[in-house]
Amino acid sequence: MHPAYQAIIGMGAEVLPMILDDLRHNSGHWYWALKAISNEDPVVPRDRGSIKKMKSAWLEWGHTKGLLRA
Amino acid sequence: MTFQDFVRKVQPQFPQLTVANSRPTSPYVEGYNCIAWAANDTDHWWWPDPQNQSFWPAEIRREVTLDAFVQAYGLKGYLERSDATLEPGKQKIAIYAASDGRPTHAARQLTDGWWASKLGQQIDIEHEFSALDGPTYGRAVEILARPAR
Repeated sequence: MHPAYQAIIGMGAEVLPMILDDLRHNSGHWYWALKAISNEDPVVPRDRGSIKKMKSAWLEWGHTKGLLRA
Repeated sequence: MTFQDFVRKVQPQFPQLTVANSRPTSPYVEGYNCIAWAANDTDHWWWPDPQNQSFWPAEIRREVTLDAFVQAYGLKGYLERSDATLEPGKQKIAIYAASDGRPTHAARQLTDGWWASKLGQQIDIEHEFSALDGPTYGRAVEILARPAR
Protein backbone atom coordinates (compact mmCIF):
# COMPACT_ATOMS: atom_id res chain seq x y z
CA MET A 1 0.00 0.00 0.00
CA HIS A 2 1.31 3.44 -0.92
CA PRO A 3 2.68 5.34 2.10
CA ALA A 4 0.47 8.36 1.34
CA TYR A 5 -2.60 6.12 1.30
CA GLN A 6 -1.52 4.61 4.62
CA ALA A 7 -1.02 8.09 6.05
CA ILE A 8 -4.56 9.07 5.09
CA ILE A 9 -5.90 5.96 6.82
CA GLY A 10 -3.88 6.96 9.85
CA MET A 11 -5.73 10.27 10.03
CA GLY A 12 -8.82 8.39 11.15
CA ALA A 13 -12.52 9.17 11.04
CA GLU A 14 -12.11 12.90 10.55
CA VAL A 15 -11.10 12.37 6.91
CA LEU A 16 -14.15 10.24 6.06
CA PRO A 17 -16.21 13.18 4.70
CA MET A 18 -13.33 14.19 2.40
CA ILE A 19 -12.78 10.62 1.23
CA LEU A 20 -16.46 10.12 0.52
CA ASP A 21 -16.63 13.43 -1.31
CA ASP A 22 -13.69 12.43 -3.49
CA LEU A 23 -15.26 9.03 -4.11
CA ARG A 24 -18.47 10.73 -5.23
CA HIS A 25 -16.87 13.29 -7.53
CA ASN A 26 -13.62 11.71 -8.69
CA SER A 27 -14.20 7.98 -8.23
CA GLY A 28 -11.05 7.67 -6.15
CA HIS A 29 -10.21 4.11 -5.12
CA TRP A 30 -10.94 4.65 -1.44
CA TYR A 31 -12.63 1.36 -0.53
CA TRP A 32 -9.78 -0.12 1.46
CA ALA A 33 -9.39 3.12 3.41
CA LEU A 34 -13.11 3.40 4.11
CA LYS A 35 -13.22 -0.11 5.53
CA ALA A 36 -10.00 0.31 7.50
CA ILE A 37 -11.07 3.62 9.05
CA SER A 38 -14.74 2.92 9.71
CA ASN A 39 -14.43 -0.77 10.55
CA GLU A 40 -17.77 -1.12 8.78
CA ASP A 41 -18.56 -2.81 5.48
CA PRO A 42 -21.66 -1.95 3.48
CA VAL A 43 -20.44 -3.98 0.49
CA VAL A 44 -22.22 -7.34 0.34
CA PRO A 45 -19.90 -10.27 -0.51
CA ARG A 46 -21.29 -10.78 -4.02
CA ASP A 47 -20.41 -7.16 -4.91
CA ARG A 48 -16.78 -7.30 -3.86
CA GLY A 49 -14.62 -5.95 -6.66
CA SER A 50 -17.57 -4.55 -8.58
CA ILE A 51 -16.56 -0.90 -8.51
CA LYS A 52 -19.93 0.66 -9.40
CA LYS A 53 -21.74 -1.36 -6.74
CA MET A 54 -19.04 -0.72 -4.14
CA LYS A 55 -19.16 2.99 -4.83
CA SER A 56 -22.93 3.04 -4.55
CA ALA A 57 -22.85 1.07 -1.29
CA TRP A 58 -20.26 3.33 0.32
CA LEU A 59 -21.98 6.54 -0.76
CA GLU A 60 -25.27 5.23 0.62
CA TRP A 61 -23.45 4.39 3.84
CA GLY A 62 -22.03 7.91 3.92
CA HIS A 63 -25.46 9.44 3.54
CA THR A 64 -26.87 7.20 6.26
CA LYS A 65 -24.08 8.22 8.62
CA GLY A 66 -24.52 11.90 7.83
CA LEU A 67 -21.01 12.12 6.39
CA LEU A 68 -22.08 13.30 2.95
CA ARG A 69 -24.08 16.36 2.07
CA ALA A 70 -26.96 15.68 -0.29
CA MET B 1 -2.20 13.98 -24.04
CA THR B 2 -0.49 12.01 -26.78
CA PHE B 3 0.84 8.53 -26.11
CA GLN B 4 4.35 9.95 -26.42
CA ASP B 5 3.52 12.45 -23.66
CA PHE B 6 2.09 9.64 -21.55
CA VAL B 7 5.22 7.53 -21.94
CA ARG B 8 7.36 10.52 -21.00
CA LYS B 9 5.18 11.16 -17.93
CA VAL B 10 5.53 7.60 -16.61
CA GLN B 11 9.27 7.32 -17.34
CA PRO B 12 10.22 7.42 -13.64
CA GLN B 13 7.92 4.48 -12.94
CA PHE B 14 8.65 2.56 -16.15
CA PRO B 15 12.12 3.56 -17.38
CA GLN B 16 12.19 0.88 -20.09
CA LEU B 17 8.85 1.87 -21.62
CA THR B 18 9.11 3.64 -24.98
CA VAL B 19 6.77 4.41 -27.86
CA ALA B 20 8.69 1.78 -29.82
CA ASN B 21 8.01 -1.08 -27.39
CA SER B 22 4.44 -0.20 -26.45
CA ARG B 23 1.16 1.06 -27.86
CA PRO B 24 -2.04 2.39 -26.26
CA THR B 25 -5.20 0.33 -26.49
CA SER B 26 -7.91 1.96 -24.38
CA PRO B 27 -8.39 4.86 -21.96
CA TYR B 28 -8.59 4.45 -18.21
CA VAL B 29 -11.67 2.60 -17.02
CA GLU B 30 -12.16 2.37 -13.27
CA GLY B 31 -14.05 -0.91 -13.17
CA TYR B 32 -11.09 -3.28 -13.25
CA ASN B 33 -7.38 -3.46 -12.51
CA CYS B 34 -4.36 -5.15 -14.05
CA ILE B 35 -4.93 -8.46 -12.27
CA ALA B 36 -8.49 -8.65 -13.60
CA TRP B 37 -7.45 -7.42 -17.05
CA ALA B 38 -4.93 -10.24 -17.34
CA ALA B 39 -7.75 -12.68 -16.59
CA ASN B 40 -9.99 -10.97 -19.18
CA ASP B 41 -12.38 -9.79 -16.47
CA THR B 42 -13.45 -6.18 -17.03
CA ASP B 43 -16.20 -6.25 -14.40
CA HIS B 44 -14.15 -6.55 -11.20
CA TRP B 45 -11.18 -5.17 -9.36
CA TRP B 46 -9.08 -8.19 -8.28
CA TRP B 47 -6.88 -7.98 -5.20
CA PRO B 48 -6.55 -10.07 -2.01
CA ASP B 49 -6.92 -7.02 0.23
CA PRO B 50 -7.44 -7.77 3.91
CA GLN B 51 -10.35 -5.32 3.96
CA ASN B 52 -12.37 -7.73 1.79
CA GLN B 53 -13.39 -5.01 -0.63
CA SER B 54 -11.88 -6.27 -3.89
CA PHE B 55 -12.78 -9.45 -5.71
CA TRP B 56 -10.69 -12.48 -4.88
CA PRO B 57 -11.67 -16.10 -5.52
CA ALA B 58 -13.19 -17.47 -2.34
CA GLU B 59 -11.21 -20.71 -2.68
CA ILE B 60 -7.84 -18.94 -2.58
CA ARG B 61 -6.05 -17.54 0.46
CA ARG B 62 -6.50 -13.79 0.63
CA GLU B 63 -2.84 -12.82 0.78
CA VAL B 64 -0.44 -10.93 -1.47
CA THR B 65 1.84 -13.84 -2.29
CA LEU B 66 2.95 -15.33 -5.56
CA ASP B 67 1.46 -18.65 -4.57
CA ALA B 68 -1.99 -17.09 -4.02
CA PHE B 69 -1.86 -15.35 -7.41
CA VAL B 70 -0.75 -18.54 -9.16
CA GLN B 71 -3.65 -20.39 -7.57
CA ALA B 72 -6.12 -17.63 -8.50
CA TYR B 73 -5.13 -17.79 -12.17
CA GLY B 74 -5.15 -21.55 -11.92
CA LEU B 75 -8.90 -21.32 -11.42
CA LYS B 76 -9.01 -19.71 -14.88
CA GLY B 77 -7.19 -22.69 -16.34
CA TYR B 78 -3.64 -21.30 -16.21
CA LEU B 79 -2.14 -24.39 -14.64
CA GLU B 80 1.08 -24.90 -16.60
CA ARG B 81 4.34 -23.21 -15.65
CA SER B 82 5.72 -21.72 -18.85
CA ASP B 83 7.93 -19.02 -20.37
CA ALA B 84 7.44 -15.84 -22.41
CA THR B 85 7.74 -17.42 -25.83
CA LEU B 86 4.76 -17.27 -28.16
CA GLU B 87 3.35 -20.78 -28.57
CA PRO B 88 0.50 -21.54 -30.94
CA GLY B 89 -2.45 -23.00 -29.10
CA LYS B 90 -1.51 -21.51 -25.73
CA GLN B 91 -2.58 -18.44 -23.81
CA LYS B 92 -0.21 -17.04 -21.21
CA ILE B 93 -0.24 -14.75 -18.21
CA ALA B 94 2.82 -13.16 -16.63
CA ILE B 95 2.80 -12.35 -12.92
CA TYR B 96 5.17 -9.58 -11.87
CA ALA B 97 6.67 -9.22 -8.43
CA ALA B 98 8.81 -6.68 -6.61
CA SER B 99 12.20 -7.57 -5.17
CA ASP B 100 10.51 -8.67 -1.94
CA GLY B 101 8.53 -11.26 -3.89
CA ARG B 102 5.15 -9.59 -3.49
CA PRO B 103 3.04 -9.61 -6.66
CA THR B 104 2.57 -6.18 -8.22
CA HIS B 105 1.09 -6.67 -11.66
CA ALA B 106 -0.04 -9.15 -14.28
CA ALA B 107 -0.08 -9.08 -18.08
CA ARG B 108 -1.73 -11.26 -20.71
CA GLN B 109 0.08 -12.41 -23.85
CA LEU B 110 -1.48 -11.44 -27.17
CA THR B 111 -1.54 -13.45 -30.36
CA ASP B 112 1.37 -11.41 -31.80
CA GLY B 113 3.60 -12.11 -28.80
CA TRP B 114 3.18 -8.71 -27.17
CA TRP B 115 1.50 -8.37 -23.77
CA ALA B 116 -1.63 -6.53 -22.62
CA SER B 117 -1.44 -4.54 -19.39
CA LYS B 118 -3.49 -2.07 -17.45
CA LEU B 119 -1.13 0.37 -15.77
CA GLY B 120 -2.55 0.96 -12.30
CA GLN B 121 -5.17 3.68 -12.48
CA GLN B 122 -3.97 4.53 -15.96
CA ILE B 123 -4.65 3.45 -19.52
CA ASP B 124 -4.44 -0.02 -21.02
CA ILE B 125 -1.43 -0.66 -23.20
CA GLU B 126 0.20 -3.44 -25.20
CA HIS B 127 3.93 -3.87 -24.88
CA GLU B 128 6.97 -6.01 -25.40
CA PHE B 129 7.68 -8.49 -22.64
CA SER B 130 10.31 -6.53 -20.67
CA ALA B 131 8.96 -3.02 -21.28
CA LEU B 132 7.46 -2.71 -17.78
CA ASP B 133 10.44 -4.04 -15.86
CA GLY B 134 11.67 -1.56 -13.28
CA PRO B 135 11.04 -0.02 -9.90
CA THR B 136 7.24 -0.06 -10.02
CA TYR B 137 6.38 -3.63 -10.99
CA GLY B 138 9.73 -5.35 -10.58
CA ARG B 139 9.77 -8.02 -13.24
CA ALA B 140 7.79 -11.01 -14.43
CA VAL B 141 8.58 -13.86 -12.05
CA GLU B 142 6.02 -16.44 -13.12
CA ILE B 143 4.45 -17.22 -16.47
CA LEU B 144 1.44 -19.48 -16.60
CA ALA B 145 -0.14 -21.06 -19.65
CA ARG B 146 -3.41 -22.72 -20.59
CA PRO B 147 -4.74 -24.17 -23.83
CA ALA B 148 -6.13 -21.43 -26.07
CA ARG B 149 -9.86 -20.88 -25.72
